[in-house]
Amino acid sequence: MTGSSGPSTALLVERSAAGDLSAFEALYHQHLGRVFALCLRMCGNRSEAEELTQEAFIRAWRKLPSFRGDSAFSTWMHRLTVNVVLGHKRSSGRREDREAVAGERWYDDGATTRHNPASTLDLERAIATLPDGARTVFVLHDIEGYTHAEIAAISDIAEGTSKAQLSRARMLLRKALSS
Amino acid sequence: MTQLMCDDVASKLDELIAEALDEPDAAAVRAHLASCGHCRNELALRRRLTDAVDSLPRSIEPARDLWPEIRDRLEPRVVVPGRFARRRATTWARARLAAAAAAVLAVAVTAAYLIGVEHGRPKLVSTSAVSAGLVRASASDIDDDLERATAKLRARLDDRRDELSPETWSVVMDNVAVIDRAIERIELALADNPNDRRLNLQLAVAYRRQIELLRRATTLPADV
Repeated sequence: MTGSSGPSTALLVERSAAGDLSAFEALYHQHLGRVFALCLRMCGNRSEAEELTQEAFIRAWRKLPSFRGDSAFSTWMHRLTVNVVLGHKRSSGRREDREAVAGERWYDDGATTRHNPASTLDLERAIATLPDGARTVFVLHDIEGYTHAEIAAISDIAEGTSKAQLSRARMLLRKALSS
Repeated sequence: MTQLMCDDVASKLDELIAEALDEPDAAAVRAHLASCGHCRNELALRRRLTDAVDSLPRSIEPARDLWPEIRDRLEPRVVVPGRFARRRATTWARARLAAAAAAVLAVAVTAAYLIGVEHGRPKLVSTSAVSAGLVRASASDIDDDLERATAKLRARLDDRRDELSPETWSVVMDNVAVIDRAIERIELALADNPNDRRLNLQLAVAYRRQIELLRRATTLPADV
């Protein structure tokens, strides 16, 4: 996501809302990297992230006619993606122990590792192996800049739980990075 | 200045890094750090993590192009005047809206059926008891919260799939789909008239019906 909705984005949004597929494809290319990164970090699994990215864009297409422009399209798309991932987590009933090996999977392709230094990959790997709840809070708070109040609201958890999960995530990551 | 113990300092290090401590607290933590190698080491580890997170790329490209699969799954959209045009609802939009409202009412009948099933006997329910509070809510106000609520209920319903008879499951799913389509149509009409009170009410009613239907379905006895 580009972080700003200039005239060209506004025009693409308007044309997409009116049913123009080529305009929506352009929006897809503009925002793919941010959407995929968010999905990948939140779920810790590359193939699942690809599915969720697809789902996010399909839902965006469906909901674009009701996008009012109160926020930037990038913000709207980001929020929609978070909702898609959280909805998926709830519906798939994921369990933390099931995800313990996720970190061995998600970055195993040349496209995502090509430009990343080793320390970044170590951190990505460590994030991917975090327990699900801790990873969600860490990604939303420390990477995406959400407040605990916002995380509590969108994740249906108490603010205190969000803080505890963040503390747990940071502790596990420090351990992983210092080992 | 208050003397801090290592545990106190550890609980404040993240705030120190984020420069979120007020000055007296920050000074107390710094004083402790000056004489405690263990806490200095802990601070260095935390700074290392913060720096590493700051250097993460904001954007990651997937290994393959996802667009062809996305494109194949997009439902074609009938071209309607966009929200930017701020035009009055077209006859077409009004017709679709009427259909959507009818669909929502039709589903209310199913909700009544499910309530009857739940209590083991037919039971009539009023379809007019819509929360007055929702009337004043705009679509943007209700959309995210209600969408979250429905997603949660759907997940709960999915978990119960094996407990419900195929007939009941089919009735529920058919009607969920009907309401989904109704919501989509109302949202399309709202794109023309975002402040239309009647449209916002109908969207609220549709969401409310969906939540009601899902809630009933999730509480049905097993093996209905």
